[in-house]
Amino acid sequence: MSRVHEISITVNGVRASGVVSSRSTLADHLRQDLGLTGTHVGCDEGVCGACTVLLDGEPVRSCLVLAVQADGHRVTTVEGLAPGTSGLHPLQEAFRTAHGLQCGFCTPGMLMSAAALIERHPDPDGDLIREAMSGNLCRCTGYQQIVEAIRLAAALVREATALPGGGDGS
Amino acid sequence: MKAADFDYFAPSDLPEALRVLASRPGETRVMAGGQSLLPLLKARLARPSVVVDLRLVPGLDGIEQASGSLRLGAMVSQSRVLESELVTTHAPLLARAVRKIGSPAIRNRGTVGGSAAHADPAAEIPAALVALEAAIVATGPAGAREIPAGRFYRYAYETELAPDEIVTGLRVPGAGNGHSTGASFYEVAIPNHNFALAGAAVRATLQAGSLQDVRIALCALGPTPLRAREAEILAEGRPPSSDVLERVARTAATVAEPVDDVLASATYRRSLAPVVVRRALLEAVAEARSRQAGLG
Repeated sequence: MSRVHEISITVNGVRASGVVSSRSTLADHLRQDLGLTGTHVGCDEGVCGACTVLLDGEPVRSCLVLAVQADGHRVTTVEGLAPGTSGLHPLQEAFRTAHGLQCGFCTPGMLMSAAALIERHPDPDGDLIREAMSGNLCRCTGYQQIVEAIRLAAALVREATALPGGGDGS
Repeated sequence: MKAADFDYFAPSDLPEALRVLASRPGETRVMAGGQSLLPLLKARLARPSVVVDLRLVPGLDGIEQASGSLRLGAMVSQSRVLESELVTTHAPLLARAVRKIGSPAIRNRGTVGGSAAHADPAAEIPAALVALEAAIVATGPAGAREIPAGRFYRYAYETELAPDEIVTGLRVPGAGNGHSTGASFYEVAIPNHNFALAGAAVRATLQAGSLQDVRIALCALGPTPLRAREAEILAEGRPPSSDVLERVARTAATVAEPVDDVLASATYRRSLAPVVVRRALLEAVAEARSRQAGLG
């Protein structure tokens, strides 16, 4: 029973240990303690989705998860999407080419929600995309290009996994 | 805003959680998924000195069907409810209600027990529990007891739960005539994943072409879910014609006690009340019909 806690979270595949106060959210911890400012805080009350990260592979509002609750768990942020130090994840590539962003503030949350969607549904239709993305708000784009970007990204991922030596085990 | 400071504790069993509750009465809040509690803490509408997190307590996340009842542990996430074949089969109204909660990320953390216990007037799960005549399982130092949902909700954010009790599960009785029963949760929320402005949880059974055992509970139209008993009695034995459903919906709407708030005026909510009930009735009846037809 304490106001401070020693925690260890695996963030983007790397173990990150630290000391957090009880009231520190996962979003606060990622941004301020770990310097991972890719995760954005919009409303800080769970309605806008900009802070969405993957916790054990599932999308969650990092502003509505306490840092201490993530102790011992896996977190994936937008910084963990791209495969290496150069090159983009198909989602990032698709958002770029389909103009799925303008100011970019909602984008990390969009990417993480979309990443989880495509993982589960490799060929999502427009309705499914909209349903899955319904918790991510955007003030700039009007959403159409975001939906197109996700559709395009899903196609890119399907193509990549269908190529020989492209992850199909051969 | 950021939450005020608090002691955080994640006990590894229920007795430990109950001990902490008992030792710091009035200054302890229990956390399930945190999707309602954390916004409260961050807005400083609640300033507990202790938060007890149930995430490490074993045995609170089961979904089982036995002796005609569906039992869900309090920590079952809303997402798991949507994926559960047991829930879809034995308590489809609950699944329909959960589908209207927030958004996928919220449902991944939010729990059925947390929502039931939090008693937000606009929450979907409490309304579904009232319509289903479900029971909330509360565990305290003296053991577990069941509280019928119709009695559980006293006022906005206020329940029958004693200060030293924790909600540990829900029990939902099955619909007797499952094969000719339809369910619907219809809600108006703007935008779609925001708090409901008005909602209706409806279950309807068709017997020889007549309505039977109709359940109607209003959501977001008063400080607690509101059961529309007069409307249910009106529906009993009548054919599900559009005239009848219109009358039933308008009768149900008379129990609404909406207030003005930042999301909508009382006048607007009152105008929505018969609409949400009617649409839910239409969907529920349509489902009951198609299930009956599917058997023939």
